[in-house]
Amino acid sequence: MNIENLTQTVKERFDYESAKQVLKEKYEAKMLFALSGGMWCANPELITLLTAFSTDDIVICDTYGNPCQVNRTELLHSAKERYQEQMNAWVNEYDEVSRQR
Amino acid sequence: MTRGILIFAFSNEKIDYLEQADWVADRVNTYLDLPVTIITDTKSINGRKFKHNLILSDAISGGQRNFKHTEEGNVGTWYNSNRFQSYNLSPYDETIAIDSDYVVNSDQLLRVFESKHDVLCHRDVYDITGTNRFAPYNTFGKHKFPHYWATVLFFRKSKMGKEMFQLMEMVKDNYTHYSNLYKFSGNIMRNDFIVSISLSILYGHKLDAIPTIPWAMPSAYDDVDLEQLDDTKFKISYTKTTNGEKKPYKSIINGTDFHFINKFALDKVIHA
Repeated sequence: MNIENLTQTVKERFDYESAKQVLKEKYEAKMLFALSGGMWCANPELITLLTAFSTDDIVICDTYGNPCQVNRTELLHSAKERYQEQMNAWVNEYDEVSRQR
Repeated sequence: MTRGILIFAFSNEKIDYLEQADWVADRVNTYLDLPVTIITDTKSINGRKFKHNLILSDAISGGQRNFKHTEEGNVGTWYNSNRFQSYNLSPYDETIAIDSDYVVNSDQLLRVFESKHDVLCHRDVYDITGTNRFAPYNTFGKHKFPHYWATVLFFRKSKMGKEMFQLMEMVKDNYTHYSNLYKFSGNIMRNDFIVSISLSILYGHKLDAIPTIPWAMPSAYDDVDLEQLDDTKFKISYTKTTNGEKKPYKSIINGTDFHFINKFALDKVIHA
């Protein structure tokens, strides 16, 4: 490494805002999963919708806007599980990023 | 049902695309656990041995381009026009064709196979440096035609998949006509434009009916530098203008795939 590169490296600041944005995009992408012929995003909106119903078989639109008949309990279980798993991973990585300088 | 990854890699006088494709193919094996087929030519192979499946084809040039816009002297022939052959050359029932500068760094692409759609690519991208360099790529041409990205192109062997690639060949063969029609520069052939126009035709010109990969593609422009810290962790370096002054910044990409346009920086990582 020459002196110019060394100076550049020392001057580099950690871009916290862009790292935070990359994490957000990463974990939003990881919330996607397929079930019952549809593609779903494990987000609060889906979990709330599924919780609001009580019957087991319902028809709702997937992320592509296609109506799918689903087993509500099964989809809710998968959505909650994925949501919690990815949020836990997100907070861990977020803490690590917050400590970067 | 067989699944795999297809990479087109025709090296030129500036960039050894085949070497990049080989490096990406190793990462595909590691993170996606899928076989890879690389479409290349004997000139690119240049007597070397590769462990991945190679299929030979004649390289088709899309024109001359500068491979790094911040420096002069990086002009070379861009052999990027074979993409329409994907359907016929792929040995898999379900294929994702990726660019050799798409760094596979997670299992995220496996979700694409779970979709019911027979053809998918990215419509949205985001700049991993936060400098929003890809905003002008949201559309192309005077009529602001929606820009779809050919960087990651999923297709299934099906009627619709076949039609998509027949359309791509037709658009490629009539590129000047389409550049006049949609008012974009036809000097260099761009796969993104070919894919965008073909998708539009495939879906009956109903642009809001085109399904896409349901997340944004992480991308970095050709003035961003790259360093590999461990298997899945990369440091990116770039400049940002704050308070009217250009300052050097760095950030970390960990466990996320990314489209890295600076082939020279990628080359350094491969040889590190």
